[in-house]
Amino acid sequence: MLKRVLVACRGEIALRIIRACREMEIETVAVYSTADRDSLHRKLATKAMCIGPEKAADSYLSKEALVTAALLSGCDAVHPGYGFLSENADFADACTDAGLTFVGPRGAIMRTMGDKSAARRLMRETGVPIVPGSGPLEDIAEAREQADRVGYPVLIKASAGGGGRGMRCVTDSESLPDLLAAASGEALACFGNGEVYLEKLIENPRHIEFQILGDRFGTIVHVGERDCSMQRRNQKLMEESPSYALSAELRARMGAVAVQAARAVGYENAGTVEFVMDSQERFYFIEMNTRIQVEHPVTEMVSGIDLVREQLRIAAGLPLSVTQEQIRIDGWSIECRINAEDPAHGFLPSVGTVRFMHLPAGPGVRVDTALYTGYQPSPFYDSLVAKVIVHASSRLEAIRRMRRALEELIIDGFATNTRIAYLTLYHPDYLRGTYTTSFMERNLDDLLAWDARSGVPAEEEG
Amino acid sequence: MEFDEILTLMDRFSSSACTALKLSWRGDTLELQRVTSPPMPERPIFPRSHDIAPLTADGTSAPISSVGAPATSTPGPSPDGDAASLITAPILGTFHCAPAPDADPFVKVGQTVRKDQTLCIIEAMKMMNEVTAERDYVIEEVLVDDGAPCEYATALFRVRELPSC
Repeated sequence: MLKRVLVACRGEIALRIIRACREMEIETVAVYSTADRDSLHRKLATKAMCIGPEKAADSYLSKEALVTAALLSGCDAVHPGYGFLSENADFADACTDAGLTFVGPRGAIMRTMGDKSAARRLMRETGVPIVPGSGPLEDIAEAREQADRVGYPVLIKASAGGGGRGMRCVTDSESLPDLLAAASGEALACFGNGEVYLEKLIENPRHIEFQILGDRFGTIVHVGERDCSMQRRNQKLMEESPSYALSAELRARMGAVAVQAARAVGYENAGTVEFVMDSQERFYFIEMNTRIQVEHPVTEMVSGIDLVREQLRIAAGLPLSVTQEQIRIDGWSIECRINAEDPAHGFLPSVGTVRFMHLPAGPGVRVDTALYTGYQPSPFYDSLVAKVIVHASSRLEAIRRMRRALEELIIDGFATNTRIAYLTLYHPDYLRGTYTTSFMERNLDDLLAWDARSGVPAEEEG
Repeated sequence: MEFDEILTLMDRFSSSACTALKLSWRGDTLELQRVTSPPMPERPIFPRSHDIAPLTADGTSAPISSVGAPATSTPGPSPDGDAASLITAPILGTFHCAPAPDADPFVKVGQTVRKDQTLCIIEAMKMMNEVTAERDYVIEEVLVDDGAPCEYATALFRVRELPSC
């Protein structure tokens, strides 16, 4: 087994890893920047080392500092958590080259899955459904033919593109020539390359992801799905497991595809296969995340499997502790992300010192946070300050339990999104379980209005 | 002299205008002295501005240097609480006081070093990073043992700054 693990991250996920290690009698070395001198992960680890200044590029993103810290402190493994270098193939390789066990997949696997077009090609060859689309378009005739094949609406995208540049949404064949020319012109102007392709536009999809575990012996299982459709500007806000949108038959089919996708790259350790699903229950692979995810607790709650423990076991060369047949999904779990941001002011980051806090507790409630009274979350890093997770026997019971938990939550010192999350738990679309990734876009104004009408000043409650 | 008598003398002394009293009586000697004002600190309580590590919110604080660049001196919490300048580690790594295991150390206590002079080496990822003086200093103390691991911002040397000429 591993003896001493360098925890190459900060915040609540660093604590999550330290806790798993502590329970497995593995020593931990925390790393921190000068901005994190007062952080909890520094205090709870067996040992801690200051690796650099507050700027992440010179501390948590410094491969040299992290590998050096691991070697100087006598670690035999490195756990990257999420964020920072967790999906950096070069960092995984640097650890391995230095004789350290990287708790995650090999660099080569990350490289394959990190390259969007390479991953897409591999999935197509493997028979995993990807969003239907074309290759590079030669002329308008080909564009028309391809658009008819995949069906409107379609998205025209720049081959060299990103960030929405050179992208056009086409709803019918009449507007195709103009929009194609516009997209190609913009692509040429922005990237010096006018090549474009088209892809079927999945309207108001649901975001469904499957948790994967793979060991060194080639065994790959899935631990059910998470529905992460509740998002704001592509940032997940609330997650649940299982998904209300999946029938048992669909779940089994998607799970098998997720395992197939992971097997195609010879996946090892914990990972997540992400799909979008349209209203006709057609689902398409979008990407694979090669790390532990923020929302992993909902899977832990319904499966009873400690995913971080499994990660450490896999890294140590042990086989998975469960078979696919032994994995049972029991009840319902919801997670709410509590961010230090102010919904009343455009979700601007909010900073301050925690003057007082009260965390929810009681049956079926779990809180993962690195906050404590007197702590000032560093403005240099992520705005996620806590994750409130509940588990109950049914979805409705879980929703009721989450309402109760958020009522108990008090964080006095800065604004959070707690009340928006709380009000979401009363929204008819959320209750019906029919919400999609467009929920917040459509309903945020209503939720803010409900909040304003409540008459409670934002400073007075969590 | 009885104990009560001493206490009485002390009371009288403190209410008087005397600043010192020396009394020899029947073989006993008593010496009392009043400190009129607290002694002036040798150095200003607040470090001079250029000694302060600029911990600004824009994240540029850091006296971190790219490989081989000079470390900045910062006032740190030195053990005796004075505001002596400290030279801190610009990166995390292994501290080497000399260029080679058998060689003489780069600097010794009491030595005067000039700006840009090499003070030590910090080894990270098999790279030898020289830490150089940012100004002219007298080395007052070497705070880290040769070959010891040092974290980012660990105090390496206590120095006294020389007036620039």
